Parts: sequence; C-alpha cells; structure tokens
Amino acid sequence: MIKMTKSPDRSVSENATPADLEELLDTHGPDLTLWPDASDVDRARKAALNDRQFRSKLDAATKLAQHLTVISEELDDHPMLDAAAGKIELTLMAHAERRGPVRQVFSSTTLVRLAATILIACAVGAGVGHYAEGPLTGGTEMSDDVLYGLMDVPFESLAAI
Amino acid sequence: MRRIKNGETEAFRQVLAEQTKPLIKLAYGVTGQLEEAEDIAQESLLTLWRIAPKWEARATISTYLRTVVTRKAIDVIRRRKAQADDQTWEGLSDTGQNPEEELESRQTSAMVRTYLAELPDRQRAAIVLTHFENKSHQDAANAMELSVDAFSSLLARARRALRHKIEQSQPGGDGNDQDDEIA
Repeated sequence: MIKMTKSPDRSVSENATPADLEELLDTHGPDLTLWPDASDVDRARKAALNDRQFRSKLDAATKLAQHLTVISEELDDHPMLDAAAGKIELTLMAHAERRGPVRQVFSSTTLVRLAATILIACAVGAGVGHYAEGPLTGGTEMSDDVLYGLMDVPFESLAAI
Repeated sequence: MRRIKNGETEAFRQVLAEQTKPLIKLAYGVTGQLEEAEDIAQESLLTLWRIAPKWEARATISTYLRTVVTRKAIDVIRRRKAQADDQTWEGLSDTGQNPEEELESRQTSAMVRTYLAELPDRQRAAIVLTHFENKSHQDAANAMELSVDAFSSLLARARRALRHKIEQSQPGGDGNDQDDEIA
C-alpha cells in the first residue's frame, strides 16, 4: 500500500450521496485511514459494506494505487535511469573539478567596508595635506635642470636645439 | 551543503550519487520524456553547485532539488501544450524483467502506464507528485503553483480518469461513468 500524507479536509454533509463519496475517494485516495474527516470515513466504510457500486469503485481505486506503486518501483529499478544518472554524474563532476566552486570574490559587505576604508584614507590624506607643510608644498621652488630642463629657455629656442 | 559551499567536490559527488536518479525519475514522471528529464535533472543539480556559495539553509538539499525539478518539469509541459501526448512515456516500457513473472499484474501495470501516458500533462503531474513522490496536497499544490483546492480537484480528476479506464478494461466493465468530465 502506498504511503501518503493526509489531504486537506473536504468533508461532505450528513446527506452524502454516492457521488459525494466517490468524489472523496478520488480526492483522498482509497486508503480510508488517510481521509481527514472521521465521519466521512464512517460513511465510506458503511457504503463499502452496503453499496456494491461504491465497493467496486473502492476496489478499483485500491488497484490503481497499487499499480501506480508498482510503476514507481519499476522506474526506481530501471536500467535506463541508472545509465542517465551515471552520465549526468560524470558530466557534473567533470564540470565541478574543472571549474572549481563558483565563489563570490567580494561580498557586498566587503565592498562597503572597502569603500569606507578608501574614503577615510582620502579624508585623512586631505586633512594631513591641508595642515602639514611638506617639502613639496613649501616655499622652496624645486628646480632640477637635469629632470625638468632649463625653465628659462624660451620655447622658440628649443626648436633650434 | 557547508562542504559543497567550501568547494569540496567529494561532497558534491555524494549529493549526485544520492539525488540524480530520483530527480530524473521525478522529471520523467512529469514530462514523460527521458531526454527532457535528464536535462532538467542536470540543470537543477548544476544550479545547486552554482548557488552553493550563497546557500541559505531554508530547506534540505533534497527538498530544494525536488522543488526545482518539479517547477522546471511543469514549465516544460506548459511550453509544449501544442505537442501530442503520444510522445510521452516512451522508451521505458520494458523493464528487462522476466516476462513470466507476475504476468497478469505486469500486464495491468503496463496498461496503467499507458493510461497514465494518455492523461493530460497536468493531471499526470498531479498523480506523479502524489503517488511517486508521496507529496501532501499542500506541497504538491505549491510545487505546481496551484491553490490546494485546485490541486485536489486536479488529482481527483486524474484518479477518476485512470480508475474509469481500469474499470472499463476489466471483464464486465461497462463504463457506466463515462459521462464524468475527465479533462
């Protein structure tokens, strides 16, 4: 017998007709212990004893459930599914070993922290540059004829060199 | 999953060994085509590998994969509405077992398999989720993106259609209930 969980309650009234019970049979399946409403179960049991038509429907539903279980088990053991699974496993393992894990290089948190660090560093740098007088910002003019050339040579005369 | 997250391919291999075949079976049950089922299972497992670094344990791996496969399979059958149903459930009719074993039962199972193949796709999906996957109506409804009532009605129609076909095929089956809507 198949193992299934209880389905939602769709119980019928006290005056359940055979059609109502058949509807419940198709909704909840032939295992009456899984029907959600106890009064429906009672009615179905009574109908199974007294109503040949309902009994035959219940038997047919039970057979159907059994055959579906058989089909499911046949699929579990089917060699073509084994072959297909083997093929997929090989393909995916090759992919995983070739590519390695797909990692996020930086998480969004890391990126925010990095941006904040850069901003703070810039602010500190600007502050230091503003207040501290360094060798490049001092009054001494840097002049290196070797590095910068002769600054007082007129531009036109360079063409003649 | 933590091990897969850390890039341990051996952990991924273990997941593949446990999950691949049941996923193909589920996808095949819903779509009825082995090739499509293979594609769906492979894509779903690859998705798991890709999302591993961002994995948040809201569900087990098995539940996650089954949900992904079910949704992909339902998408496939939605897209192929125009195609004929006679393409479904091909290729797996012969299980390779001894044909003399339980001949009558096997014949009936083969017959039910044929009836299952003839069902509208969504009805077959409802049967597969309920009878192969043992899903509750609630879980199956979620997987098919239906309300629970809509799923229950779909399942009831599918069961009734199959039951009527079985009743009619039995000796003395008179098909009294043919007037019921089965679509």
